[in-house]
Amino acid sequence: MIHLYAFVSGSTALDAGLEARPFGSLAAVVGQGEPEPLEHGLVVERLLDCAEAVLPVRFGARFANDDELASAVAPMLETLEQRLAHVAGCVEVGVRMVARHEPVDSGDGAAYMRARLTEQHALDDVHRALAAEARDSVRADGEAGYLVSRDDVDAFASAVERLLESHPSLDLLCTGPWAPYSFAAAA
Amino acid sequence: MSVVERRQSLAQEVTLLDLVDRVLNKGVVVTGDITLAVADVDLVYVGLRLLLASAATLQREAER
Repeated sequence: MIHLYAFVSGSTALDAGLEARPFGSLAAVVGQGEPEPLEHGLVVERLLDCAEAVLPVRFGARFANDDELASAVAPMLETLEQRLAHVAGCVEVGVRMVARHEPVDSGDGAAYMRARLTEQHALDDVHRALAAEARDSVRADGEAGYLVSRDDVDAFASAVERLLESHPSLDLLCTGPWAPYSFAAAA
Repeated sequence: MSVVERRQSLAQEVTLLDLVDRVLNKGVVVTGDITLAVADVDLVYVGLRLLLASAATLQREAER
């Protein structure tokens, strides 16, 4: 079985056990066998340290042979090249955003709804401010992902720190830098 | 400063869950032989467990 980890561009020194299969201007990083999800994730994170652009593949893409891999990748090639160019030189920084619920008089429904609305506006503010610092962003419920240039990760983390201070009602937790998982699928 | 060093300084509380969640839920979807089980546990079931864990974690953070 061939297990597909990620697509990369640029020259890449691969760990033992991994191979690059070239497709046009990019390469598919594959390995033999059937790794566990955690192994898959760790391989992708290591690729982030050595490749110019990494597009992680969702766990579960396995092929019987190179021909099957090639026929699955060929129709996606143009999209993959575009996405790789989009994430080139960038990493993903995850930010979990949670509002600390201030106690509200339980009998006052309007006050409760106002408090929720204020929280929502604060979360929207933070997302807008961080999205302005990033090349791209995605947001779902309490978690957002930001595509940030490798060189700007420290500055981005400082921006999160400042927002944490200016929004005392929110808890913000930075995670990463990750491979750009949230920006890998075609928009 | 390498990405690894940055990762260590930036990430205050990177959990295993975050990584596995990404690996299973995000990334390019390439249709191959889709794996339906991880270590003899159905991925659907694993997905449910992850969702429960994520929700519980958020709840803890909200109550802190």
